Amino acid sequence: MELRVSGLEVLYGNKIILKNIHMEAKEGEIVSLIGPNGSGKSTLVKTVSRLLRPQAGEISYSGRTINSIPTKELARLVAVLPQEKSLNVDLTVEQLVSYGRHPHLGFGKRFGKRDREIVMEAIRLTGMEEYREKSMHSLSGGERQRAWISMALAQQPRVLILDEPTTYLDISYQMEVLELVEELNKSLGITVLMVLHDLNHACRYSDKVYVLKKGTVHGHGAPGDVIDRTMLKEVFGIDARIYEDEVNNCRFFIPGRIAKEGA
Amino acid sequence: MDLLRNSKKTTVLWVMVVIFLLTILISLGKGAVQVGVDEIMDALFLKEVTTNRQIIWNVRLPRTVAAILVGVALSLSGAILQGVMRNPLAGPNIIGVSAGGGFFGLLILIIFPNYFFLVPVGAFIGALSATTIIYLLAWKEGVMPTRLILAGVAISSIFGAGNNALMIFYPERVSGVLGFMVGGLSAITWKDVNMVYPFILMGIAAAFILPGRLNILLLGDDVATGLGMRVERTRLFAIVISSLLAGAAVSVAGMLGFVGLMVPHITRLFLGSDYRYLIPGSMLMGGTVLLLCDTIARVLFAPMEIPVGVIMSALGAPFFLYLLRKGKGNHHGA
Repeated sequence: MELRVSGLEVLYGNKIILKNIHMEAKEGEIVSLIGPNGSGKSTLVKTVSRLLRPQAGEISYSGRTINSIPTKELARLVAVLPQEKSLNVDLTVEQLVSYGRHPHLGFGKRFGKRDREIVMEAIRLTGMEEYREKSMHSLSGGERQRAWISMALAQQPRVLILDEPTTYLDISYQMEVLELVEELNKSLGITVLMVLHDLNHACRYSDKVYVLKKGTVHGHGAPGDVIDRTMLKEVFGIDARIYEDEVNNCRFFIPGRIAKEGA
Repeated sequence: MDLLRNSKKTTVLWVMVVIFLLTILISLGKGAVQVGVDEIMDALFLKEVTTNRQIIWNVRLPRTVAAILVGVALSLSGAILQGVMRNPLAGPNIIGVSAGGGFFGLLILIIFPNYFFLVPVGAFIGALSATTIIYLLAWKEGVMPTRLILAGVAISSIFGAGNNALMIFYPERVSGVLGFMVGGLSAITWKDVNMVYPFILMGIAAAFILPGRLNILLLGDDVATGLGMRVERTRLFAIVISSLLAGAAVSVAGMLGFVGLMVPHITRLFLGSDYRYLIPGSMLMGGTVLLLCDTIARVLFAPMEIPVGVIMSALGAPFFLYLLRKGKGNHHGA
């Protein structure tokens, strides 16, 4: 399923957070949003997942505008994992994942055998079988994130939206989560839109990146075309050296120092 | 959902049912006149006219039924509110039910004492209008739980000031309204019960469709929206149900709001925060706790009676604190 955003404008009160955003994620692509703090990345993912309403512009999923899709149907097509998730719940992994079936249930459609199978499959796909009956509290950060991703998978979405899925995680867990996302993208063909903080992660795991700066798209394209010295200086204000990693066939950079004004 | 039944929690619920039934028997039997279990049964199910049957049917049963209804309604209201607000301090008091109901009740009792029979209706209307005011004040592109709670505290304090003003301007009438202020069930008749039970039953029925939604709401507004829930609508529905329940309770029993805060927490210590268990558990526990406290209130200094609100706070609060201290860290806000 493809996502298309055109002419998007979002305000908080009188403050313009996003203006004239055009973005596209094709079926089966992994698209990452990068940009400094306050550039509007989170606002953009929140808006395309209908957590925020735009003042202007259009968001469509496979040609249908977001407002024409009923709330529950949208939740069957698009799964969202916000950055802030409540920790205040004493749930087992299995319970949490079963909530992913919510958009498929309804009046006269109770949780049945088929739903249970889907929940089990979602747990299996994220490698969480052994934690199925464990309480969410007892899990490590990485396991917890995998459990949330399981829940999203139980929605059987065509698009997965993740807001900083690796924040607060150790490097090995960060890898674990991103490898999982890539694998799900490849095996299930789910379109992925995610906010990433680490630009090297964005290089390695994305088909396409959108660079945001002060609420506008500064540039977009394949990571190898977009992430370069000029962009790092203009958007992030750092001098960096760019390298190519032949093993993973992707670009990476090592930050040098903070760029001087007008340098 | 049939999946994920937890057999331990189900057992706990059944134990609660048994304790609840035992409490009903105790409540019917104890009082100025002691009535044995066999006589209670006879009185309830046989048509024979005896003195004890008169006592059971006309004095104790309406009161027992009222205590159960009030306890169930307040606890359910509190459990629902703690869920939708994701705040452990939420309760019927927070949405202004006690303050609004209390003020209107007091207004009638003090200014128009001849219309005392209008107190339940007035309290009910007062409770619902206070909730409406608070909800509207808290509304700004949706209702944030924190804003709702703060608006509730502010409005409650305004009504509280109104209560104090009334009592200061009419000091000679204060003694007559004390019972209403602390909350009590004395002099309850079938008429009172008949007036409120439709609202309470309606609330209970509506509450049965909430557990799944409350569970999801606990994950946060964003996650809930992502799962296809209309968060604002669900929250409004839950608040309306809670205020209906608590309003009905306040209208018969006066200001007993503490039950609504305490019982869901006690229940959570036993059953955890899964609303599929917490809702029925809070109802059973609420009925039991209020009935027990009311029985103690009647029996302790019989034939003199203490308002159940006093017993509730004097016994309930320390017990609650004890459970909190003892809790094995499995106590989560909401």
